[in-house]
Amino acid sequence: MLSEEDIKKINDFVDHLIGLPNIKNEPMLIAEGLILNFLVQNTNQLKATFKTPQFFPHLEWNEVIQVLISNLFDRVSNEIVPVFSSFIENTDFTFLNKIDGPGRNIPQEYHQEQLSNFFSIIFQNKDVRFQLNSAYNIFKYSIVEKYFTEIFKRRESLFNELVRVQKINIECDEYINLIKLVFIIKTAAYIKIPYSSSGVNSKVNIIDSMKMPGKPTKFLNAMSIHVKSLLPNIPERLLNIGLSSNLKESLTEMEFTAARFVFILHARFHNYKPVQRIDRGAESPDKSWFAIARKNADYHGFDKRLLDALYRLAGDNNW
Amino acid sequence: MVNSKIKNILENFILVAILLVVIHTFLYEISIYYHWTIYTRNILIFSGLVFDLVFSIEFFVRTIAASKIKEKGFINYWFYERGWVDFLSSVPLLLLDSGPSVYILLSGAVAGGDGVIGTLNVLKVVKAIRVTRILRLVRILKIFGKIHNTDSKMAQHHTATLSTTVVFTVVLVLLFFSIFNDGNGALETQKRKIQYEKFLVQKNINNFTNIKSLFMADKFVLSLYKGKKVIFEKIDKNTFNKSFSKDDYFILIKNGITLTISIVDIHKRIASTHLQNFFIIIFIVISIMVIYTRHFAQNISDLVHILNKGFRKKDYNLQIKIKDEFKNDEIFKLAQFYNNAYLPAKLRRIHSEEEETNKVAFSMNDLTDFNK
Repeated sequence: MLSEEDIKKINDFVDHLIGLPNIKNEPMLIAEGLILNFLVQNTNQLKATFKTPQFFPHLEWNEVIQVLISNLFDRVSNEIVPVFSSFIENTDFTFLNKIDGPGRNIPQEYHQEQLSNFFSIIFQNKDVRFQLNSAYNIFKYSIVEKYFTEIFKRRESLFNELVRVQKINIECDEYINLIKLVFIIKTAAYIKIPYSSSGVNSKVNIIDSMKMPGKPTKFLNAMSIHVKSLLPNIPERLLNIGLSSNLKESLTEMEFTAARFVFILHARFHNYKPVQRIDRGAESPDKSWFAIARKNADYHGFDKRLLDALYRLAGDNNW
Repeated sequence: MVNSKIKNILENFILVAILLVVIHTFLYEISIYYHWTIYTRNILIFSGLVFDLVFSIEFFVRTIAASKIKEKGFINYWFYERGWVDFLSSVPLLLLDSGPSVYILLSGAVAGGDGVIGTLNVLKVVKAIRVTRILRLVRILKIFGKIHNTDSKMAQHHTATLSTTVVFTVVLVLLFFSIFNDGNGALETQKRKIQYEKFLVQKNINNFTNIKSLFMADKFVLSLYKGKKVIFEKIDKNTFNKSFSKDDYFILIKNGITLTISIVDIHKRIASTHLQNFFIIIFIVISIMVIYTRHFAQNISDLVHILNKGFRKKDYNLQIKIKDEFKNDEIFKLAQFYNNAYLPAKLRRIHSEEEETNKVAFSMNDLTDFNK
């Protein structure tokens, strides 16, 4: 049994790690990932170091690691979870009933309960949790609100692609919530599920599937069934958009423009740090990013038409 | 720490002195143009000496400090930190302008006291070298060195070089013309003297009533004596003593007639020219500071600043704004390469590095500070 003093010392150790120069400016989710990577890669050295008087000489390695990881997780939870919980608790999800056409009438409470449980599952899974950083940034800095308000105001090519071509005829506020929901669903692709490929059975996620022979769309079909079991009330089309938003443009179907759009936004905001002051003579951050992304579109698998439209949008608004 | 505090105090003192000396230069010319009282002009002459002394001391202190700090420090200060501007705007003025002026003042030759032959000779020399007064305008450049309206060292350096070149060229041209164009009024004074001498010789002195009425109407003639008898004094003695220094008039004695002739108008013309030059240089410096510095920053130094950050900082990926009108300039061509080739390649490399390895942001060495 660890004493309060031991727990405090481990807490101080986590403070020390988080305060390191290369960590302190990182978002909490990224910081957690970096620290866990460090623990894994330096296990043997750490075991010896922790036994020195400066650290935790009277504690077992497992005891320290358990408390340390739990401490880290609590910190991440305290920072990240409220942002998503607030979205799930305060959003009217009845617009979901319109996605697959009329006839659906699932009550709001059902949606909220299901999404809340789904979020708990993905957040507990560290492989999935680390992928939430772009969603966290997008929620925290109201990115979707900013872009969609402008897209709906302009009613130009992006509006046509996302609303008319996809036949998702909902209001701007509803579309904003839809895209936010897609950002949560998309991370489910990082859950490891039993999957069989070339006669080999193993537990894989989207990253593993990319390394396997065959198209990852086959894996996503399997994943879609799994996610459907977790979110039975969410329209299947939305689940497919969410899961497909992990794929490059060449691997998605034309009807999944929203997925391609989310794929771009995810790349833009995964390592996002707000720019405090734009240097004189420099382009705005989003405009710069989209301009560079246009040059690298083939490499990353971005949809160039969407990038062009986003570039214009960001440029005109000095984003 | 203490040294840097003292240095800051001294630098601020010099900055204030520079601002004051620019005002002083203006007031000095104004005092001549509006023919202020001798007392006020003397104060300005004395304060001019104080300023020249301060700047001469500043020049010598900087020279000694620069020589002591590093090898070739003096050369560095003289050529690259505009030590020559500090020199030209201090020592020559002290030796050729304010120093001799104060010497004459204290000797009683200028301020209306009794003159002696020796001091009158000095006065002639001082008048001859007074063209160096134009060098005071070089001081305006010192403002440029102190007030920085841009953070960029490169912009400061290049615009300072430009302003120094322009201002110094203008001052040299003015100095040249002032030497060959009677810049100190000596020729005009001499001409006037000859003109009145000729007049006195040619006119029939016996017809004194006629001469008296002619001189009464002459705006340059201040007083007329016949022998020791006062014929007229246009200005009462008290006002005359307060407003006219020996420098402001000359006395002509011919055939028992003593004329006091004013040359205030000549000084006024010279002061007017100096004021024009003063404003020309002030506006040149201001326009370079405001317009050219901005132009330089926007089209050169801002771009270089962004390029430097983009090359050095891993997570800096802002593009450079390309101006259509300048897109064929070498710097903008470089910026286009940075935008279109360097940044995309840099981000691809970072992306592939992140994909390939499990990122480790710190090492075991970073733990040594814990709990100490």
